[in-house]
Amino acid sequence: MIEFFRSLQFIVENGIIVFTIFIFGSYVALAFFSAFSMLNYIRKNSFVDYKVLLSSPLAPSISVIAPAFNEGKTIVDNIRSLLSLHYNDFEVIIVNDGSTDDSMEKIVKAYDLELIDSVYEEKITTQHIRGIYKSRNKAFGKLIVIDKDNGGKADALNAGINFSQKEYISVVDVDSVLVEDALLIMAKPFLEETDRDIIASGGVIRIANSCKIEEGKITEVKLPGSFLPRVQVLEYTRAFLMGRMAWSKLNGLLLVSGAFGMFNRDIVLKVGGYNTTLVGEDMELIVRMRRYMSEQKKKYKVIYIPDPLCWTEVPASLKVLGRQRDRWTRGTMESLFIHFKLFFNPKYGSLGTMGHPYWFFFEWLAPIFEFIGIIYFITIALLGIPNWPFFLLLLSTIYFFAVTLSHWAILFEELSFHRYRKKREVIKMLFTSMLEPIFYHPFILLFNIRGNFKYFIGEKTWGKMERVGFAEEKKTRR
Amino acid sequence: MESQVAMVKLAEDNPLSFLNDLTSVLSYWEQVNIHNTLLYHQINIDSFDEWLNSSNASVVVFALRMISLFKHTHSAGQVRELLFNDNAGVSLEAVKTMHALELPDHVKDLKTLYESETLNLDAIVKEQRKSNTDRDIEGLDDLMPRRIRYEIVKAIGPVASQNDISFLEKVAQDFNNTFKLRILAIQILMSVKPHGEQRLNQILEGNNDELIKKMIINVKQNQES
Repeated sequence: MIEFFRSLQFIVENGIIVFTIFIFGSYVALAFFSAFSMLNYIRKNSFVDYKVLLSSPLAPSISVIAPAFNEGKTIVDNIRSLLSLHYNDFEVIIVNDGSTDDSMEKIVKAYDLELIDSVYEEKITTQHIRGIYKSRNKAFGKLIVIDKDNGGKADALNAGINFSQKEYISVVDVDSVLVEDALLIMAKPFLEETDRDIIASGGVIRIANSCKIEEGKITEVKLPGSFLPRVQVLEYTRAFLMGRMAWSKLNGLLLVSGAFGMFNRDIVLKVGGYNTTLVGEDMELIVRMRRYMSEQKKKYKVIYIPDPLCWTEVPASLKVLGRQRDRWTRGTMESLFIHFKLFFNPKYGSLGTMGHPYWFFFEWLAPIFEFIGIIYFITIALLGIPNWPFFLLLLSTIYFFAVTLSHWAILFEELSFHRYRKKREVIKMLFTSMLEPIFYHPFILLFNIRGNFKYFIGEKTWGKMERVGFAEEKKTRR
Repeated sequence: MESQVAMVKLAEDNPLSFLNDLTSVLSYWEQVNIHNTLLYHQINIDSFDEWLNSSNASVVVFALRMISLFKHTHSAGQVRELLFNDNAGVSLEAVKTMHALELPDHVKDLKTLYESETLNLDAIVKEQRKSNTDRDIEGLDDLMPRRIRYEIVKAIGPVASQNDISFLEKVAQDFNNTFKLRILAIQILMSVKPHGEQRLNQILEGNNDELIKKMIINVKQNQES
C-alpha cells in the first residue's frame, strides 16, 4: 500500500511541478504583454482630446442599458449619474426587472415619468413588458424606463436591446458609477479600427467601497478600510491591468465585465442576445459573438480599455462574496462547455488556440487541481509519508510568486493611473497582498469548488447580492 | 493622425491635399478629428468634389460626410452618381448625404436604389434560409442593404410629397421590413399633409393587419403629444 502511495506521490508531485511552472509561465508572459500593451496605450492616448467626439455630429450613437432589480437604495442617484454622462447622441434605458421593492415608485417620482404607448420589435423573446415610461420633463429626455416581469438580468438586458435604437449598446450595472467621459473613451476604439470590426469593448472595473460618492459621481477615491473589499481591490487590479490587458493584445479576450461594456448592436442581435438560461450570461455572450464572427469568416476584435471608467461596490461579507464567486465559477464552466468546440480548434484563431484552452486549464481546472493537491497532502500527511522539503519549497515558491505578482499589479497601477494617491494606501495594499494568499485565497478556492459542485448538480440560481448602497454608506460615514 | 491634423491646420493652400495620395484607410476617428479641426480653425474648403473620385473608398466616404455637414448643395450631382456605387459603404454614405442636402430632385433615384437594394436583400435572405437551418448562424450580409433602405426612406422624409405616398405605403405595409423602417415610413406619410394622413386613416379603417394599425395609432399619439 505504502509502495503504491510512493509511486503515486512521485507522479502527483512531478505533475504539480509541471502544472505550476505552466501557470507561473503564463502569468509572467501575460504580465509582460500587459506592460507592453499598457505602455503603448498610455503613449497613444495621453494627449487625446476625447471632447472632439462630444461635439462631433460624426460620433456614433449609443444606447446605455442598465437592468435593475430591487436597487431602490441607489437607483435614483445612479440614473442621475448615467444621465450626466458626457456624450452627444445617447439614450439611457433602465430596465426594471420586476423589482419587489420601491424602485419603480422612486424612479417615477424622481424623474416625473409617464406611461407611453410604444410599438417595438421583440427581436429577442423576453418576459412580459408591463410598460414603457418616459419623462414629462424635457431635461430627462434621454431616459427611457422599461417595467417588466422578472426574468433575470439577461432577460432584462434583452428587453433593453430590443428597445434600443442606437448603433452601439453599452451595458451597465445600475449600481455601478461611471466616470463622466466613460462613453467617449469607450467609443474611440470602435472608430479607430480600420481592418476589422470591433464587436465589443470592456473597461477596468474599480472598487467603490469607501469612495466618496456625491450625486452619482465619484468625488474622492479611497482604499477600502476593511480587509475583504481591500483585498478585492488588489484582485481586480491584478485581473484587469495584468490579465485582460494582455488578452486584449492577443485578441483572446473571453470576457467583458457585466458591470460595463460596449457592444455592436447588430452582432448582438444576430447571435440572439443574452442567454437567459445561464448564470454567466456576460461571458457566454462574448464567446458566442466571437464564435459567430469566426464562423462568418469576418475579421473582428474584442478590446479592452485600461482607463478606470467604472466603479462598483464589491461584496463586503464572506457570505455574499461566496455567492458571487460560485456563480462566476458556474458561469465560466457554462461558457467553456457550451462552446467546447472551440477547444484547441485553429479554425477559431486565437479564441480556439489560446483563449478557450487557457480558461479551461488555468481558470477552471487550476483551482480543482489545487484542491486535489490539498486533499492529497492531507492524505499523505496522515499516512506519515509527506515529502516535507518538497512541500515547504512548493508552498513558499507559490506564496512569494503570488505576492510578487500582486506587487507588480500595484506597480502597474501606480505608474499608470495612480488612483490611490496617499502613500499610506499603497503601503496598505502591499501588506494586504502578503495576507491575501493566507486569509483570502483559501475562501476563494472553497467558493470555486462549491461552484463546481453546484454546476454538476445543475443549480442555476444567482444568489442574493445584498449591497450597502452608496447613498446609505455616505450617510453612515458622516 | 497628428500629422494629418497639423497639415490641415498649417497648410496655407489646399489643407486636405494629403487625401490625394492617401492609400491607407482613413479611420472614422481620423475623420472626426479632421472635421473638428476644419470647424475649430474655421478653415473653409470650397468643394470636396475632387475626393469623390478617389480610388480610396474611405476618402470618398469622408468627402461625402463633409459635403453633408457643410451643406455643399452644389455637389449634389456628383453625390447622385455615387448612389449606385459598387462599394456599399459609399452608396450608404451617398444616401445619407442626399438626406442632409434635402434635394427633392433626387427622390426618383433614391426610390430606384431602394428597389435594387430590396432585390439584393431578398436574394441574400433567400440564400441565408437555404444554407442555414440554425437561426444562430444567419449571416451578416443582409445588414448593409437593410441599412441603405432605411437611410433611403429617411432621406425621402424631408422632401416627401404626394407623389411618394404609394411608395411609402408599400414600405409601411411590407411585413418583411423591420418595425423601425415601417414606423419611419408611417411617420413620413403622416407628415405629407393632407393626403398622407388621409391614406393612413384609410389603412386604419380598412386593413385587417392589427400590427400596422397599432403602429399608425402609436405614431399618431406620439405626434399629438
